[in-house]
Amino acid sequence: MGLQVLTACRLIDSRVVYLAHDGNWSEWIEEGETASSEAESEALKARGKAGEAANVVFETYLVDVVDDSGTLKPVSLREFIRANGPTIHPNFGLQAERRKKGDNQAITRRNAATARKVASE
Amino acid sequence: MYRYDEFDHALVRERVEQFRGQVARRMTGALTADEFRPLRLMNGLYAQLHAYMLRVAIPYGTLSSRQLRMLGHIARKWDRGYGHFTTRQNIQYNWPRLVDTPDILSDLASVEMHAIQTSGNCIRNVTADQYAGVAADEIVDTRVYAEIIRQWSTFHPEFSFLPRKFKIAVSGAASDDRAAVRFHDIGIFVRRNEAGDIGFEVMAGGGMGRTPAIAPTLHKFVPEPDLLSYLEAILRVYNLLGRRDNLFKARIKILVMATGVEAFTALVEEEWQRIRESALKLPEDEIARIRGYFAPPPYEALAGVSRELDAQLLQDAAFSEWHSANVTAHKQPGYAIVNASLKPAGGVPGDMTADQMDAVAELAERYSFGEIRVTHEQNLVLAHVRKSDLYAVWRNLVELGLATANLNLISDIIACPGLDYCSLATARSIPVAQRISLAFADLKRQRDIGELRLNISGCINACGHHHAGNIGLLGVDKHGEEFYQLTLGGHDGADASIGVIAGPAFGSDEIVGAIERVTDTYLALRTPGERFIDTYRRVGLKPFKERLYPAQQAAE
Ligand code: HEM
Ligand code: SF4
Repeated sequence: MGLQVLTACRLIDSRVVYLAHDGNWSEWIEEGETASSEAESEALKARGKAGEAANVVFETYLVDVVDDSGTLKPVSLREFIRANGPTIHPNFGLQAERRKKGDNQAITRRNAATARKVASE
Repeated sequence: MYRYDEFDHALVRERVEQFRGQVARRMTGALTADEFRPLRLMNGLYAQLHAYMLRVAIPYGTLSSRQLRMLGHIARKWDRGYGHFTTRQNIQYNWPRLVDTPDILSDLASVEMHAIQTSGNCIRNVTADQYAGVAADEIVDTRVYAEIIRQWSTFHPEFSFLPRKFKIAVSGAASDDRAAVRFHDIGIFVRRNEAGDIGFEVMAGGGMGRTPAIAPTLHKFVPEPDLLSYLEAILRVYNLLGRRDNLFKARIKILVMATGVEAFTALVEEEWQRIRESALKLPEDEIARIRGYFAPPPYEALAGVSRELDAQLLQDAAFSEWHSANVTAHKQPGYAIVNASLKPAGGVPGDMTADQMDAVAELAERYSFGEIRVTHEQNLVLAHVRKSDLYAVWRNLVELGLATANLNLISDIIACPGLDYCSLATARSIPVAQRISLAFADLKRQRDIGELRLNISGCINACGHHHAGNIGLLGVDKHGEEFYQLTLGGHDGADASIGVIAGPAFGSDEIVGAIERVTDTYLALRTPGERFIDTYRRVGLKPFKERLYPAQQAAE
């Protein structure tokens, strides 16, 4: 099985979020907790259902991603656009934020991985 | 313009407060996602790819400066500084927060606006000819009847759970159709008979989506007082017999096709005769009262010809080009209708920034009696500009980026939000529209090609009217890649037709080239002055196909 992350819509604004390794819902895919086995995916799904029950998010589902030299990249175009914002209007707030953030994705991802490793040690 | 009475005000206010309560209950979990969904949709709030989307109704496309300013204010305060005008004369905001929507709706209510009838299986926001009341070729002002239909259909208790959504459009021009009426569930042409009486040609069963259909005429002349009873009869037959078991077969077009036009018309006739002499009959004084709201603004008595304008046209070539493309004849001497293009080269069709909204509201106040129209082609109209003010208006529009002289030309593209925003999309539409408008950015080239409507949808739901485009593009997904199916020969005028698929879909990087091959073929084949659609109808698909798919043709 490839890598997966769990995504959802945040109830308050329906913004795209990902279940992060610290249990929070992050707007940035690179902070998403990855699953690389059926069991891990199931565990993510269960945590997603808990988020739905707590009225934090709705419509949770798994997204296939690839680890592109340290950056999490969704496989489908739809999920790529969800993760990065519309491909138009590069200057309208969100898209600009995403782009800027995108430049740092690889670094953040490595940081997250390191943090997780440190935490589990 | 129509003004709310105390009942309208109370109704809309009450609705906002109801929704405020529903949102609060959703946030605490007292309402589940499934319970809340229909409630938010009844208030125009969708969940899209990145965020919620709020669709606000602009009944028959008419706005006051005050209302447009409020739309700008909402874009700035609650959204990301822009909004998207749609083919259904609505505006969509792409980034509102759930918890802010009650406040947004309250802001809208303060200027007599709302998001009612913009979603769900009810009679949707009624659309109309954007030149209503001002076009030189108009028979009757359609806004009067659009408003009557709006009042009758809003919260109509019998029709709030129809088998599927229901869209009505009204047009009043003598020989033209500016509201794509034949592509609607009910289309209405306002007519006058030989005796001079007003009546309506009523069509039903048109639509886009996966089964495009052109509405056949059910009745050639429904007398004016019987408008609502006839519409009610159609809706009743549909409500009773329309399919509720299959989402794809639930629209009235399927019922009309399955029943047969004649049999369907007979069913409507039977119901109509039962209810014709009822409270639905429109009293003359009520029609007159509504007509009063649409009295012409206080025009000045002007000469038909403006010397000033004639001189400016001679002096400034760019102004003259814009004038011939974007300015239309007004019925009042000395006045003209101005189209402000929301389709700059490389722009997002139908998108407008809050600053542009403010500026256009101001322009309308200064030059057009404070009134703005929204068109189903996703442009704006200043409906009453003095000919001698056209130059000043143009200069202002140029500064705002709203003066592209491309009305009804190939870059005046209708495009739906597509995969950049829409959760149902199979491919993007907007970036393709941007690439096409850049490829054809040279206005001289566009003018040489002449009237040509190009429409793009990001999936088979056809919100971007691709079936009705002279050239239509439908985004499809092939193994995760964006492809575009090309249709030719669609048209949404009085002689409406549905586009025909030219052949296999083109990849995203091939599509602009394919369109250029279509226009080249047309240019080589047209007779002097012949529009694209007329050439296509004369020569058929074959020569276009040969140019588009040379290898395939050789193999056959
Ligand atoms: C982004 C959210 C949108 C969603 C979820 C949506 C959904 C749909 C669906 C499901 C249909 C097909 C209905 C059927 O065949 O029964 C449809 C049709 C249509 N929509 Fe949209 N749409 C959206 C945006 C728009 C926009 C932005 C426009 C205008 C540019 C628009 C205008 C239309 C029109 C004109 C039709 C075809 C007429 C009809 O058959 O109803 N929609 N839409
Ligand atoms: S045509 Fe499809 S992609 Fe475009 S807005 Fe409609 S539902 Fe969305």
